[in-house]
Amino acid sequence: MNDVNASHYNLPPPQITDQNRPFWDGAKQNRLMVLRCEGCGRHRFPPVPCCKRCLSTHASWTEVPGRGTLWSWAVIHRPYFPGALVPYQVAIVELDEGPLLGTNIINARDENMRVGAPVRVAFKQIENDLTLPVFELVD
Amino acid sequence: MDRLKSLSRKVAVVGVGTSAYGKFPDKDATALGVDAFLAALDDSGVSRDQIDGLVVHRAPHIQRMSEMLGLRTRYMSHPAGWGAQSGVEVIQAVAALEAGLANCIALIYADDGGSRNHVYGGPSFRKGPMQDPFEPWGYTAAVTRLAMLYRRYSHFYGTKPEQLAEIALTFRHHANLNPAAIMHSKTMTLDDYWAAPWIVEPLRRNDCCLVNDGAVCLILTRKDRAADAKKKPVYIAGFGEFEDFEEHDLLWGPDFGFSGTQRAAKQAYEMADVSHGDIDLLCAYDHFAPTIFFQLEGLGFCKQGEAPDFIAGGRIRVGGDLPINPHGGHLSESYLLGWTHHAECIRQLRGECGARQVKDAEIAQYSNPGVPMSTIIYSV
Repeated sequence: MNDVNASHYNLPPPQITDQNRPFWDGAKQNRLMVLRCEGCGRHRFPPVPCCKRCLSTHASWTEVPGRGTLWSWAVIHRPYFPGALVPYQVAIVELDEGPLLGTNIINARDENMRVGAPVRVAFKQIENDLTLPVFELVD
Repeated sequence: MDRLKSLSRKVAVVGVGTSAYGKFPDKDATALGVDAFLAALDDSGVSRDQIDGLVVHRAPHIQRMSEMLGLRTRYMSHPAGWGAQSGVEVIQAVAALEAGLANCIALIYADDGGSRNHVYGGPSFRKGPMQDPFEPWGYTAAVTRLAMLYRRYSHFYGTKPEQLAEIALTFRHHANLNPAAIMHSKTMTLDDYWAAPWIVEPLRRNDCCLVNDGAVCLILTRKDRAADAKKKPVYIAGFGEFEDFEEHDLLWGPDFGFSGTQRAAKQAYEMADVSHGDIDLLCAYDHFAPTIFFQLEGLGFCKQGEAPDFIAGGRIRVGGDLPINPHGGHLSESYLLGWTHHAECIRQLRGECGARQVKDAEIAQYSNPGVPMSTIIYSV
C-alpha cells in the first residue's frame, strides 16, 4: 500500500474557501482547528453554517489537541481520481471533542489498525502551500 | 396512527413495467422510460388518458417525458436523483391519490448511467468543499462510506468475510433464476467471489452494485378504480419513512441507520397490521452488500449484530424463511435505485416469477436503508 508521501497519492488539492480556510491555515502552522459553537459550546467539523444542536450561527475557530480514536478506515483500490496512486488508505477519526474528521493514518502497521485505537494528530507538508492534518496511532 | 391506518390498502399498484437492463448506448434515459411506461400501461389495462399524475425520477427531463407520452396531468413530481427516493415517491403518491390530487399516477424511473459510464466517486462526484469534508484525504465514492461503516460493524460484531459473501452469492443465485437479470447467465462460487478485486477494502467487486441502463414504471390508483385492472391489484398496506442525517456525509453515523430504520418500520408494520412473521419476502436496497445486515436489524428481523448469523443456511434464499431480493437485487439483477425492488414485490405477489417465485407469497416488503429510510408493505 502506498504511504502518505509528498505527492499525497496524486490526489487533487482541497477546495479552500472562506468557510474552511482557517482549518487549512491552521494546519500550515501545525495547529488542528475546528469550529466551536458560541451558543452551546459544541465542537463541529466540517464548518457548516449553523450548529445542529442549538442552531446558533455564531461559532469561532478553536485549536484542539488532536487526540481521539480511530473510527474506521478503508483502502481505496480503484483510482477514482485520475492518476491517483492506489491502493491508499483513508480513515476517519473521532476527536475527543466529538467531531469526526477525515484523515490518513501514517506510520501504521496493518495489524495495529483497529476501530477504537487511540490516535493523535501529526502534520504532513504536501507542498509549500498545503499541509494535511494526518494521524498516527498512539502506542 | 388512525389517519395512517385509514390509508392502508386504499391504493393499489395496478401496472408494472420494466425496460431491458444492460447498456443501450443508442437510447437515452427518456427513451428507456418510454419503454417502461408502455409496458406498465399494457400490464395494467389502464388507458393513457386515465393517467393524470406523473412522477419522473432520475431521468433529466420530466417535461420531455410528459410531452412524448402525450400526458395531461394535474399532479407532477420530479424528485432529486439520489438513491433513497423510490419509497418516498410511492408514499407520496398514496397520499396524493387519497387526497384526490390525482386518480391514477405513473411513476417512472429511468437512467442511462451504464452507457454514460457514470462513476459514483472522483471528480464527477465532487459536491464542493462544504459537502466533501473528507475528500482532501482521498475519501471519495459512495462505496468508501459503506466500506468504512462495514469495517466498524464487523469490528463490533465479529462478522467474518464469508458471512458478507453470502449476500452476494445469494443474490447471484437469484439472478441465475431470473432471465431479465444482467447476471442471469453468470454463476458465482465463493472462490469466484474471493478472486474478484477489492474496490474499497473491505468490500470486493461483488459486494458492489451493477451500474447499468434501464427503467421501471409503476402505475398506482385508488382501490375503487383498481377493480378494472387487467391483473390482480397489489395494495399498499403500510409504509414508513424517517430522516436522520448526519453532518459529515456518512449518512448513517454510528448506529448504521438502526434507529431510523426501526422508526420507519414500526410505523409500517403498525399501519399494515402485520408483523415480521407475516412477511413472505423482502426486497431490500442493496447498492452495497452490508446494507442488508443494517436493514435486517433496523427492520427488526433480528437484533443488532445478529444479521450475519441470521442469513446463514439459505435462510434468505428462495425457499428459505425470508427470501431477500429474489430478482437478484442491485448486486446481480439491475441497479435502478430501488425501483426494481418495488417491481419484484408486485410480480411476486401476483405469482409471475417463474423459477424464482416465492411460494404462496401474499405480503412483500420493500426497504431502503436511507437516507431517507423508507419501507413499504405490499399486500394482495
